[in-house]
Formats: sequence, C-alpha cells, structure tokens
Amino acid sequence: MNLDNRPSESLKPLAKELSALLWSKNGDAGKKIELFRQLQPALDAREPGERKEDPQEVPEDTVGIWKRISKEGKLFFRRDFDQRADWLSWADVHDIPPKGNRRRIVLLGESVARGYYYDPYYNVAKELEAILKAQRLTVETEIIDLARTGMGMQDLCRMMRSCIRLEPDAVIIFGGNNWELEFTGSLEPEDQENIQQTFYTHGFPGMKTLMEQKFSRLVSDLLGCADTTLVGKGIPVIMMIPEFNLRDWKSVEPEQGMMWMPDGANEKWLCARDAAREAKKNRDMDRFGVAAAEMVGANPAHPLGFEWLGEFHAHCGQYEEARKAFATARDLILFTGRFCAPRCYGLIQDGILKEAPALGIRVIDLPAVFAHEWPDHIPNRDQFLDYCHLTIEGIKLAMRHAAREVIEVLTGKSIPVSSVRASALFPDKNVLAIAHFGAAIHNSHTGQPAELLRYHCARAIGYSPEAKQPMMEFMDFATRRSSSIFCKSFEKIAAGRKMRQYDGGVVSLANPARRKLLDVDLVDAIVNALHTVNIHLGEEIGELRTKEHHIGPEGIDLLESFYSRTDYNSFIGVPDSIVYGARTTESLFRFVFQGDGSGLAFSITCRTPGREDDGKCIGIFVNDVPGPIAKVPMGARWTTNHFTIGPGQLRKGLNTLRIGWPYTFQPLQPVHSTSHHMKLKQVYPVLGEISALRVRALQVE
Amino acid sequence: MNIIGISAYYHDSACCLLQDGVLRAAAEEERFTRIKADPSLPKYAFKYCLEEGGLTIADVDCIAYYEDPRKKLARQLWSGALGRKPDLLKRFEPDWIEQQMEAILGYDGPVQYFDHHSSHAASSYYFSGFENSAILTVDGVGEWATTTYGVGSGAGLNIFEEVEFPDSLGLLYSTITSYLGFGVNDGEYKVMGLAPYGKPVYADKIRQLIIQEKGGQYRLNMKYFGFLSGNCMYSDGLIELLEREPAKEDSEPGQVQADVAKSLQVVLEEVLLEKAHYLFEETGCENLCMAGGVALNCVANGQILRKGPFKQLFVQPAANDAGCSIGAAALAHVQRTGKRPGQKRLSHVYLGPAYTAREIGNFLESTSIRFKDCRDDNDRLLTLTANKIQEGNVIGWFNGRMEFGPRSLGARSILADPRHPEMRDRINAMVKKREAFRPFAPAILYERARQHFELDHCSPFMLETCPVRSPLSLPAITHIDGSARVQTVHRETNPQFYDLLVAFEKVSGCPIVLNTSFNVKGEPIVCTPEDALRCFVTSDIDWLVLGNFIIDRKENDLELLKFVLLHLTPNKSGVRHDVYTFI
Repeated sequence: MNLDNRPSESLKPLAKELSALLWSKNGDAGKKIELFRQLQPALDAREPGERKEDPQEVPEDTVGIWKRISKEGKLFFRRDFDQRADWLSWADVHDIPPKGNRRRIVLLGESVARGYYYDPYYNVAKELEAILKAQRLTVETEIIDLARTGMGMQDLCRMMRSCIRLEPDAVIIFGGNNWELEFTGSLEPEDQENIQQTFYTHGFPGMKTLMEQKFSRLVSDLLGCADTTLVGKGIPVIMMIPEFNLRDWKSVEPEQGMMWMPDGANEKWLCARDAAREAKKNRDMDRFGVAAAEMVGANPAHPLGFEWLGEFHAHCGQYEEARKAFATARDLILFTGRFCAPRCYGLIQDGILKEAPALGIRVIDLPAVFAHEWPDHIPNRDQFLDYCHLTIEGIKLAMRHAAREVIEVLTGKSIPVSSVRASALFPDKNVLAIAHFGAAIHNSHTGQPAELLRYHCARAIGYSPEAKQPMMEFMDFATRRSSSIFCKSFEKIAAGRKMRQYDGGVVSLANPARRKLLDVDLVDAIVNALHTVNIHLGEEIGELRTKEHHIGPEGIDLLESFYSRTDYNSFIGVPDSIVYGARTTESLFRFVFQGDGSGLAFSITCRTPGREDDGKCIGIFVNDVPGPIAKVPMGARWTTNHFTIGPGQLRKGLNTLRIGWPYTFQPLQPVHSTSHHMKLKQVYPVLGEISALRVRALQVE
Repeated sequence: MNIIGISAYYHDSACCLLQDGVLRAAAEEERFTRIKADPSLPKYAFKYCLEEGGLTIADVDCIAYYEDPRKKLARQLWSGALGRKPDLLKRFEPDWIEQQMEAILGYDGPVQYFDHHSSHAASSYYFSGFENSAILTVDGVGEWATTTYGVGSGAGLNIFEEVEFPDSLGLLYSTITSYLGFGVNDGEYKVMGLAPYGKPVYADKIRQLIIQEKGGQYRLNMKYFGFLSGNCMYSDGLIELLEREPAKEDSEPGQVQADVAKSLQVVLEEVLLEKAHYLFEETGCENLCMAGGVALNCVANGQILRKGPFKQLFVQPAANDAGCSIGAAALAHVQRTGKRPGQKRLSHVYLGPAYTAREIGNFLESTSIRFKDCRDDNDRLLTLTANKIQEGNVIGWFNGRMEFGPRSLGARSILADPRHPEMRDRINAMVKKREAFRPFAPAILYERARQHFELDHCSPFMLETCPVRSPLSLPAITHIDGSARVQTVHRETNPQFYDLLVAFEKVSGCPIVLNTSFNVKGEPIVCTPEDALRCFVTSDIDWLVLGNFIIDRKENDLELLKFVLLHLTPNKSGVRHDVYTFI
C-alpha cells in the first residue's frame, strides 16, 4: 500500500492477468502461483487483530439457557429472558438452586433425553429421579435436567464444560442421534475431493471406509472432551448409547436414490427389487428373502435391500441377522449427504463401546439392553414413537439401567437391574394421546408409511377423545393452501395449548415457507381415527380439498410442494433448486379432480440429463390405470410435452400421477469441480428432471 | 425472442423477461424470499418471469447476466478484497455462474455477460423513449467502474469514459452513511432524508474527501476511507477531520449528524452537476439518462434537472443493481437483433405478480379475519377507502401487479391523508417503525400536479424532488425544506389507484395521498396477500385493501394472530450493513 492508502496501479495488470488465468479452464498453475505471490501486497491488505470468536468458549456465568444470579446471598442459575425463544427446547425449570446436601446428577443430551413428545409433563429426568427416590438410597439424589432438543456434538462439549458450575456428582450423557450434521460439516473441500477420488477408484466400499475413519475421529474427540472436562476432574460419566426404531423405520425418498454402480449392477438391483415386490405381494417369503439378498449384493449402498432382508430374517425368527440388516439400512444415509431423520449410527455406537471404558466412562448400550430385554423382538413402535424417541416403556427400561449405574457410582454397590423397578410415574391419558398425535405428525413429515400414521392416530384417540379437537384443527389447516399460521384453525390450536408437548405446539406445527405439504396420508389417518369415535369428516375434508386445490382453466403448478412432496427430507448442502430432480425410478404427484368437465390437460417440461436412449421412454401413469397414459422420449435437452386425461380415468377427489423414469447405465465421468451439486450428481445420478408440470381443466364443449 | 436478464450475488438480485423486445415481467428476489436485499440467484423471480410470459425453460433464448465476473475478480484481487477470504481462490471455478444456473434454475443454455455499468446505462437509455441521450451512471462499484459517461443513439450505446475504483461517489456517500450510524446499502436513503434538517457547515471538510479532476474524473482521498480493508468504511482520518466520533448504529440523529448529511448532499450535488455539465459538453445531447444506486438520490436528480444543462431527464426507477437485470436483457436483445428493444418510454413498473380475486378470497376465508367482499361493487370499495383516508386512517393498499424497484407506486403501498399534521410521526413510529425524521412522499392525480407542486412534467416514479406550492396544508408529505418527492398517477397505467385518488378528492377536496412502501423497517416490500396481511396485523395500519376485499382493524380482534405471526417471523437480511459488500 502507498501513502494514498490504495494498492499500487502497477498491480492492476497483474490482477487482470491472474483473473484471466483463473477464468481459463487450462490456466497455467505455475503462472497463477507466481502472480499470487506478486499480488501479496494487495492480498495482505486486511487489518490484523480481528478477533475470531472461539466457538468453544462458554460465557462464564451461564449453563445452557440458565444464567447465574445472586439471590439472598446464594448463587442460583435462572433462565435467561433474552434466550426465551429457546426455552421450549430445554427443561421447563426456571431456577436451578445451589447445590445442597443431595447428590447431584446432571443429565445432558438431546431430544431423546428430553422425553420428546411427553415433555414437560413427563420426561427422562423425572423418571430417573422417581426411580432413585423409590430405591430409598442412603443418600438423597436430585437430577438436573440439561438436555436440549436439537443438541449437537459441539453443544454437548460446551455443556460438559459449563455443567461443572453446578457441581455435579455424576453426569449422564444421553445422545448421539444429532451428530450427522457435524460429521458432514467437518469435511473440508480437500476431504470432499478425497472422498470423490476414492469413489472413482474404489467405489462405495472405499468411500465408506474413508468416511467412517474420518467420522470415528470425531467420536473420539467427543469422548476426549468428556475425559478432559469431567472424568479428568473426578466427575463420573455415564454414557447412554441411543437405540433406533429398527423394525418400523422405513427409508425415505432421498435415501433411496440409486448410487452409481458399475455396469449391470443397478439393472440387477432393479430386477431383484421388482421380484421382491412381486414375492411380497404373493406372500412368498422365501422368494422375497432371495430377492432381497440379490438387491444387497447388487447395490450395497441402497437401504431398501437391507430393509427387506431384515424383514425376511425377522419373519424367519432370525433376530440377530435382522437387527444387523436393519442397522445397515439405517446407517447408509451417512455416506450420501442427505438429511433425514436423526439416528445414532453404528460407528458412533462402536466408537463409544470401544473407547469410552478405557477413559473411565461407564457405558449403557441401549441396543444391547433392548436386545437382551426382548430377544425375540426387534425394537419397534412399542419402544419408539418415531425413529429414535422412546415410548414410556422405552424410557422406563432405559432409566432403570441408568439408575443402576448411578447407584453404583454414588454408593459403590453393584446391584442387578432386576432389582431396580420403574417408577410409578405415568403421564395422564391426555398427555399420551397428544404424544401419539405429535408422533403421527412427525412420522408423516419424515416420510413414514401411512400404516404407521394410522397406528398413532388410532392410539391417540384411543387414549383420550381430547385429542380429537387438535386433530380436527390440524386437518383443516393442513388441507388449505394458505400458510398454516394464517388459518383460523391454527389460531385455535395455538390458543388451546393442547399441543404444547409437540415443541410448544406453535412453531412445530407451522409449515416452512413455500414447502407446505398436503399431508394426505396423515389427514386420512386422522379421518379414520375420528371415525372410531363417531366423527365422520371424510366428506367434509374431500370438499375442502376440492375447494382449496381444484383445477380450473387457469391451471395449477404440480411442482408446488402440496402436490410434489410428502415429507420435509432434503439433501444437505445442495442449492435449493426450482427444478424437480428424480433419483429414483418413480416420481409421484397428487392432484385433486373435482369430477366435472372434460378431463384435464397436462404439460410437462422435462429431461433425462446426460442420457438419451431411443429404445426407452419416460412413462406417465395415472392412478391404477394399467399401462402408461402417455410416453415422453428420453432426451438430454428440455422438451415440453402435452397430454390429456379423460374423466373416465380420473377419480373425484385425490388422484396420483406417476412418472416412471427409465434407468440406463452411464459410465462414470470424473468431475473436476468443487461444486457439491455436481459431485452429488456423479455419485447419485439424476434419472429425470422436471422444470414445469402444469395441469388445467378442459372445458366442457 | 425470449431473453431473461439476471442480476445476482452482490445485493438486490433480480430477474426480468424481455419478450420480443418488450418488458413483460421483472421482480426482485427479496420479495419472494422475504430476505432483505437477497443476493442469491433469483430462482423464484425467474420462475415467476417464465410463468408470466407463458414460457417454459425450453423457450428461453438466452440469459443476460449483468456483470463481467472476470473483470470483477480482477478488481477484487487488486483491491485485496479476497485477502479477507483466501480460500475463495482455492474454490474458484471458471464456470461457477453457469453451474449455479444449471443447479438452481435447470438452465444450461447460452449465457451472455455484460459489464455492470453498461447494464445500468442500458436499463435507463433503452427504456427512456429518447432517440438519443447522454447517459450517466453512478454507483458504489461494478467491476472496475464506479461512474461512467456514455451516449446512446438509436440502438447504439457507447460508454466513452469511466472513473475507476476505489474512486467512487457511491462509496463516498456510503462511507458517510456508515459514519452517521446507518447501514450501508440500506441507509443512504435515510441520509438523503436527514439532510434538509441540517446546514452545510461541514461542506468544506467533505470537499477534502474528493478531489475533482478534469473531464469526468475525480479521486477520493483514501486516507479518510477504510473500505479497502473490509472492516470499516471510514478511517480514523475521517473521525479526526470531522472532529466527532461516529454515531452509534441506529441512534437517533442530532443536529451534528444532520449537518454532516446536508454537507454531504451539497458536495454530492456539486460534483454531479459539474460532471453533468461535462457530459453535456461531450455529447451535445439535450436528454440525460441516469442509473446506478446514486441515481436514487432524487434530491440530486431534481437539482440536475433544474440547474443542469439538460432539458429532459429519465431515471430508471430500479436504478440500483436490481435494474441491471433489465439493462443486461436489453443489451442482449440489441446484440441478437441489431435493434433496440421495442419499448417506448417506460410508463410504469407494474411488472411483478398479481393475485386473483379467487386466490385472495380463498385465503381470507381460511383465516379468522372478518372482511368485506367488494368484488361486485368497486365503487363502494373506493368510496369507503377514500372516506377512511379522510378520517385519518392509515391504509394498506394491495392492488394489481407488484412494482419493480425500490419505490411503491400504488400497487403495494401504505396510504394516508397528507393534510393530517400527526400522520408522518404516527406512520414512522407505529406503522413503519422507523426513524422519526424520515419524510413521506405524495401521490397526486397527474392532472392536478401543477396546482400543488412546482412540476411541469410527468413524474410517475418518485425519482425527483420539487418544491411544494399547494394551497392546501400538506404537513405529512412536505419535507422540512418545503420539498416533496412526487408521484404523478395516470389512469392509463394504474386505473384503480387513479380512481381512488379521484374518490378521495371528491370527499376531501384533496387530490393527493401520502404514499409510502407497504413494509415495515427491515423487511422487503410485501409481495403476496399473506405478506400484506402479516404487515397489516403486526403494525398499526387501520384498514387493508387486498384487491377487492377490505379488512377493518376495528372489526377484528387480531391479538392472537399477531402473537402467532410475531412468534414465527424473524427478520432476515441478505447483506452485511457495516461494510459494503464487495465479495
């Protein structure tokens, strides 16, 4: 810099030359470096001393949302009013008193440790405290509940450091479901490049091994944090490894994109899939098992084969094999850059089991606990309300084991779990009803099958008819086009406060901007459940759907989320596109036909990027009509095609348009790009894209 | 020929559709995403433009991009902007813009790049209706240029001189804006509004910041500026010069701040007038077209027109970077066809989305709101609304296609009685929730304009100020220096708004309404009926006209809905406001 405080004019030609080189695809790398060096006076222009906030630093006077205050000469921790927007994610406890004579157990963890769906009326901390009280120990205990919905790894480390201010006698850490985002976030561009290259040379197995090594180090780091901040200071740590709803949980559309496989593999997989479907329909479980194994062999990166293999083994009573297959299906998403339901991956479980004991950390392996408790059973909806949040039964079993560890830590006595009884605490029926209704909503929004939604809605009504009001209100605002928060039914549900257990019952029920779902399966499940208490709303809902979503001559856009999406799952780090991309062989769209007029006229602008095949077509199907009602040739360029569907092929009310994308093998073309989107397209090829899909009513002539 | 124009990745991204040389649609992305000054690739605006034009992506002949990223990168490298983000170079890819267009829009067709200031220039000249014109563009910075001088004749547009970064009138203005405690890229307009409260006692000091050179050139005295470091717009040198600590962010300005603002405004006008004279001498044109963010300084524009050598002035209403999208599209059209876009003078900017009565009706029926349905009786709607204005109520007015550009012009407006002495303070405090000194602007029936303002021509875009000469007392729209930023309303371009003014004149004798943008501080102007209802419910607006429907606050209990909306709506901004966004 010269005295005029601007870079030298003489550097301008260098900057222009460097820019031209960077923009050129074949720029001389050596020349770029040389120009960089010469531009250093400009590149070093920043002022020193800008302090970067250390994310690990924790304000001295806080523990989570609680801030230290002095009251009557004593130090309390009170909820910080400035953080009230976050209060709902933590325990509903306003003051944490100073430590007295009771032995203090601090509970850290995530939503599973909150007792999500029951909290604040009943939760993990309350159960544990009640169990310990009932044990009539020689020492009195108290549980300080610092679990937070949505807590990740870094937050957990911060909480480990700050919870010392509460003078704990032991700390329980119940978490591991939320670590995926930090895993993926830890990947630097060089790591992503490395992973990409490994995929090119060693395929999925190589990529998986590399990523597992990388992520395992993060697990070690977290355990190291526990060691340094707690164990090393003489505070015993009990770590509870979460389990997963292996039996009921089904992989969802983003997880089911077909990873690139060498020639022939995915074709084999597709044939085996069709065979497995057919076998299942015919209840030929032997053939089903064979086909599922073929799927796994052909494409070991696709969860569906493992899920079906798990089903087969469970059907045969081979529970150990079933667990392994389901666990593999659960874990595959870690390597794919998608964001679906949180889960505790196998590598986290293994990492904790392997390294924690050596650090003096006690471990409760819930998967092993559940397997032992129910040897002839895979964890399912009896233990889980969704993918990982426990039912009362699950919480009570987990806390009996936690209590056993706590007793040993506090008294030195080792007692069998069988002598530790669950508490008599039980939430009332209204709480149970809303818990199941909340679970129905959450399962629906994470893409779970209609059968599970019907189960939870039925349980909700079965527990208490009090659930019917929020269910009716939900059906109303879910069915309307307007954003939920504007609907009068939403106002009622917010004012009624009956859904408080479901993340406060306001924010959690609002749809994300521009992504409102029609929630067809969930609304239908509610209709069915209400039917059992003599409330018949099927027709009313049908009329409301027609009114809100009817197709007139001006037409509607079927790419809107109401019609094109059924859940909120998404890809991480991929720019939010206005183009609908299909990575599976089928895309489903729902629309409402009011049953009048001459039928409907559709136009679709689509392409099969990078793929052309004269022998194959994109097939368009409607409802159960056999055979395609239209065919669109494959093509790498955008083309617009039109077709009509007559009233004879349509149903009054909801209809389904299915687009069948042909699969063709494409050789892998290495991509030299830092773009995450391009890399993902290589690993998970897009089979089809839709830029516009519109439908309008044909007028009666 | 279907050309899409895009501006993005800096601030105020936008998209437009030029169809066979006619502007069919244009919108800023922030209106859809509700992120103020959203810089991201305008995907929703793009989708809207295609739908409005009845097109699919397959019908797009090319995308015209509003700046040359290669030249911009060279400037960033030279200025050290990338020194603050060294990993940018490692991640750099030559075709990243096309990659993003493909990934986000699905577009893989031709992309044409045009210089930033050429895009500004074209956005004004090609829509001015002038057969020939001098062209002046002034902003913070594009690639290298901060100020350009050009001439347009027929289809041709030639920029013959430019001032290069870091010498920039826009950055000078932004630096003082920041010094005065306002946000950069956001507060410049507030400084302009503050200036009339002050005296130019700091003008000599401000003149030390800029050295006028011959021709179109000038230089900033960089010892007073810190924006090259990226951490602060001004240096310690400026604080020493003005002998005052900078104002705290969002603090209530005092007399000193007003004096600095006035001094800045005076110096800006001096420089612009001198450069306008230079341009006139170089081109000999009677007409002047202006664009670039500084062209939004309507006070300076008024001075240029009154005191400058040009007879006619056209300022493109979206003179900021959003407007570059239409300039780029126009340049692409000229390049492809050899002809200038077949557009007469831009007579309106109602280029955004509209909503049908059915859509609005269905929406209102889903809410708990009590409303009046005036679909069959528009006269009743107009009369009721006019009466409400006359009674001193504040009206939210949502009508027809949304405006393009930063001004609200009777499509997404808040309206009130300009004769009401307390109206300005009330709207500033309770409705817009913004600084008390901010003035409001009038909208007037075109035929009545001369009777109330010193204005002898159309002013449909509120881009120049003029003295108020009305027999009526108009305290709510008369600024402290007796000026107003007028919008003339024309029946041909906005019949509903025009008819409302007629109705208001009928009941009150006043053909003028206070017209301000339909938004609250920190939020973009409303776009959809939901946005309008949200703004209505959470502010102090009395009466909302949503198309053919009326909502009266007195007939509704909105507390619960207000609670829900406030609970769920965090403010978001797409840019930093402490320094200019260079990256």
